[in-house]
Amino acid sequence: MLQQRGILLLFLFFSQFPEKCRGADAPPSLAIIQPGRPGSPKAAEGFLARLGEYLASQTGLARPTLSYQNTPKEALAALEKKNPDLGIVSLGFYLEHRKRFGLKAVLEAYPLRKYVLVASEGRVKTASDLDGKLVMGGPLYEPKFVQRILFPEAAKTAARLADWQGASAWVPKPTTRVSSALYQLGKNRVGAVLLYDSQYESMKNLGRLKKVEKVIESSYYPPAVIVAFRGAFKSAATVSEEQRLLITALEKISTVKDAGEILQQMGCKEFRRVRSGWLNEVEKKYHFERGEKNEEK
Amino acid sequence: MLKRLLISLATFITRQPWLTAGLYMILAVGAIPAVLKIEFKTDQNDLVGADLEYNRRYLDFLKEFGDLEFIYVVIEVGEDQQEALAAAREIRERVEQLDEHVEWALDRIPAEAMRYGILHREDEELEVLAAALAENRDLLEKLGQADRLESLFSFFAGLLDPEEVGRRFASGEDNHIGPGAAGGAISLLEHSLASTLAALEGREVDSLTRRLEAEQGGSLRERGYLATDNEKYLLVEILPKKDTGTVELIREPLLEIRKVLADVQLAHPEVELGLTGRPVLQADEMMTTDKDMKRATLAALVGVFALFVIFFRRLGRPLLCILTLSIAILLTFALTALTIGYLTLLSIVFAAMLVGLGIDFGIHFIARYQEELKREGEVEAAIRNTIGTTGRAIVIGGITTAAAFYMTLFVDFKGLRELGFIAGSGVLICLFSMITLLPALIILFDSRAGRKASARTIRVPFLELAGSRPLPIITIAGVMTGAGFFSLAGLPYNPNLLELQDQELDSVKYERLLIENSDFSTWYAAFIVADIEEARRRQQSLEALDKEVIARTESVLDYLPDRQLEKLERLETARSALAGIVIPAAAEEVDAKKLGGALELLQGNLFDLADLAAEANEEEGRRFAARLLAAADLSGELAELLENSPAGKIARLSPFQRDWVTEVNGLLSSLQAAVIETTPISPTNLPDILRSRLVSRDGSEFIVYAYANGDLWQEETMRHFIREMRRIDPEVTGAPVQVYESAGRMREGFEKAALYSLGVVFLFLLAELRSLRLTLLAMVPLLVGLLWLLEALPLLKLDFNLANFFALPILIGCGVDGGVHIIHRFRESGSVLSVGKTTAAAVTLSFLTTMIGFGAMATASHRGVASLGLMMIIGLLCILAATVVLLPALLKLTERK
Repeated sequence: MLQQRGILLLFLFFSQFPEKCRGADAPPSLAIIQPGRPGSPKAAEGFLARLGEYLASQTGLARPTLSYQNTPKEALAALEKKNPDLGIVSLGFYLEHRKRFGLKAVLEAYPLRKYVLVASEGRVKTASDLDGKLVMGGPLYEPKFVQRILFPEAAKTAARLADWQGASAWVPKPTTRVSSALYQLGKNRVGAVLLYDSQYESMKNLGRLKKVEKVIESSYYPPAVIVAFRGAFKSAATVSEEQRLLITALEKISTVKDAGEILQQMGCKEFRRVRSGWLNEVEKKYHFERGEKNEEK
Repeated sequence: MLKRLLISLATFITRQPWLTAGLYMILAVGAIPAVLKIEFKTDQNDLVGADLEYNRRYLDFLKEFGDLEFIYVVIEVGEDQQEALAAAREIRERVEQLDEHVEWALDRIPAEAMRYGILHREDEELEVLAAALAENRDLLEKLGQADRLESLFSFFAGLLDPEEVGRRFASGEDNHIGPGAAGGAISLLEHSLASTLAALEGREVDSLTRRLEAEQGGSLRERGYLATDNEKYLLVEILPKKDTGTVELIREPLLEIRKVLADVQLAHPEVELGLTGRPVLQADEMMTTDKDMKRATLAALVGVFALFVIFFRRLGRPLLCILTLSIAILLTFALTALTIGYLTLLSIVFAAMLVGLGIDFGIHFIARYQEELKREGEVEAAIRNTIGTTGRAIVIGGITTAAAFYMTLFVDFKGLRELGFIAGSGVLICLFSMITLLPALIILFDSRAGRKASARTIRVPFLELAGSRPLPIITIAGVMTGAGFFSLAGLPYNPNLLELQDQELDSVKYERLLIENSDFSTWYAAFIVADIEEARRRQQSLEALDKEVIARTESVLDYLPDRQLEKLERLETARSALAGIVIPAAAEEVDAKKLGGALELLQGNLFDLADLAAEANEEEGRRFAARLLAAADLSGELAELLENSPAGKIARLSPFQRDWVTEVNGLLSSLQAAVIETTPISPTNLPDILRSRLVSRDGSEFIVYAYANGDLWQEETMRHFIREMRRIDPEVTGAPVQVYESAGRMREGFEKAALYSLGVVFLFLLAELRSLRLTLLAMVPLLVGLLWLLEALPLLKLDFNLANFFALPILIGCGVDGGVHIIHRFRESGSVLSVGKTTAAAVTLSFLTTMIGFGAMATASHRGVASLGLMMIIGLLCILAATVVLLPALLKLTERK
């Protein structure tokens, strides 16, 4: 008769999960680098484990070594030590570091996404209202991407804001903490917050944007691209069977029933072959915007 | 012989009026101590003989387990369940404080009393729980170490570290440990934040336990609440302390509980609530009937006085009559005290009956006395003549009535037997007083007036015509009687006791609500078993019955988990992990700066965790994110408020911190105790509130309750229920068995008493009149009147019921008097004319006074009392018509012969 459950649930919350580890010899490696995304390497462990299981089961290989970084600084530090075979990286990271690490884009994530700048209602009437103001958000980990690709001076979508002169006058404050940024916005401690459109939608659904309005938004871009690191695809001979199997597994991931949750956690629905023509245009725009010719360090 | 005796008596009284009156006064004064000692047994069980098997079992049950008749507060749940739960809790808390009037009150089985139901869980759940507790010993220890708000919030900041929590969510390795499960922790955090803010702002803070209880999932019953299966009604079960010194048994408890209900109703105006249960229904019934009877008595007195004035045109003699009656009733009380020793709910009505019956003797006496006084012109002579003539009729009528009541001594219903004895004896005492004390008082009263003492003969001219037109009257009466014969086939009987009550009473309304809208019954059958195995077998048999018979069962087994030793072993790892946790006392001093810092850290973690959860596509994840964000906002608000608050305001947090942290730690320590406990739950260590309901006082026996489904107030449902219960155990007991058996015996008793009374009346009259013809004639009014009554009932759409069944023996007792007086006068004078002149008028007056006495009851709110009043009016009217119209007409035919 007695079913006194409620209070005990409190304690169930403390449960831990034993990690299932599987040893392997010289496994392939894959790095996920998505600056500005919420979470942390530790928080992503479960997800990585799941992705690793998937790749191992689809390729018949040993479980790949997987890593996750959400700040450029930590990602670069890790890459300095060792380049992985493949990477799932943000478009901004790819553009910024493609030459440095010899990145070659293979697949891009779908659906394409927009980026949205929000501010407190009525506070931003013209573009100049944001001059010298703090703007927070995950995409700002890659400020050049924001300034040159998302919201350049000539951006049609951004130009709808009067006196639009580009995003270079903002004081960027990159953060992975979306809710906290919006809280700061509510307290008028920052001028605006730049969000991925998925964040915008989820925060709107949560009722966190009631006194906030959309100021400008970008065109559509892939939220991530899958890249091969230096040398991996320079010639057919250098492509190992293992790498090819990994790319094939990622390309068909949307067709595998049990893998839906992995895509969901990555914020996309599928990976498609990259549109090379479009990507060339973006690369050119990124490098030659404002007369810069070479961004390589 | 009777005549000689009466003449001697008349001589003595006329010579010694002072002595006669003095003797009565001495007797009356002497009776007072005995009357004061008379006991009043208000328990309905006292109406049934303790030697009857079913009653003996019930009395044994009461002795072993106590009087487990519960009052139920019924709370309509409506749209706002929380409000109803709060009302139930408040009622229980406040009623519990009424120590003097209430044994206990119960709105739910407390979770901690049953060790949070841990041992009731399935093996898989237990394993998860044990593993979770063991693996998180460090976290629990940290929570246990929280002795102030800042450490509590720091604990939460650590617990909700997004890195750790995110890893769990993302892994998704086990779906039952996710945001839903985390809800428990978030609840505690939310309440801690909201309550801290409330305390800081000086608002009232609700207790944590209440808040957490309110959030529990599952049905109300699953959460331990007393509720109907459809969750329409919540119940608070109250065991009142009965006071046998009051008719209602629970008068004071009921008044106090109703005060509580009124207060709670004010605090929760949108919640509908009321009281019901057998003790309340009985008490309400007693209070209603008491009120009705007082009003009826007052109305009867006024009515009787008015009649006296109309008929006798003076007040002195009627007042003497009432004085005589009062002394006679006092003496009857004394006789009761000396013989039976107590009065019961049934026998208490004898006084009211005697007022109606006893006054009639006086009316006949005074009516004849006035006639004689007018003729003789002298008081003593008039008295002598009256005693010698009408006195004889009074004696015969009185003895006949008494004999009719004494016939109840042969029925199988103790309450009725006692009433019959007291009423019969009372009638004899009234009778004797009316032919001894009343004449003595009249002599003393009228002698003072000397020759001025005068009187007029009472007359009802219309009645004198009855004897002059016998054939039309007999023809009309015959046609009427014959025509009504067809309606006798459908004599209705309604055994539903609830329908006898005032339908406007809350207790009746809520009893009906429960019957009509839920499976909850306030009626239960009790099976007494000697051991657990027998309880199991009994409960299994009951649960195998048709669901239309039993709504639910309850026994000690419901609270004893199965395979306890095995389950306790499964908790071993958790037990050893929790055993060493020492929970400190709460601190009072509040460091605003540290508290603010802890809140800011917490806020940051909550935001980050919300970001993670918001990414999830599932609705559950989004809901969780929303809660986290709300908690984060609250943390920020609290941190800011702390920063900007003066020291005085922050000081408000000290008592709150002490109470809140104590409560959190108390929750943890009671959980710890529940897990650590290695003793299996057994009948001996059940919480008192359960033990007292389920285990006998000496611990040797157990109850298995079978709560009825359906309306047990309906005879057929009750019969079916009892039959099914007896099929399982012929020795079943409980209120339904008592009511079923007692009602049956009572009805049978009334029927038998009526038949026996008719028989004894006939035999007595035959012996006294020594003429079959006159005996039959004397009984014509009674028999024909009763027949007319039975014929009239279906036409008037009146049912027989357990209250108005009582009218039959009373009607026989007082109905026969009229015929006896008429026959005596007729035999005395040999003339129908003389009958019509005074006797018929006196009979009419005596019937009218009785009708007024009972008629006032017809306006009662209690339907049973009202139906008894109505039955008496119609019955008396029928018998009166037969006595003063039909009988003289028949006598006229005899006279001609």
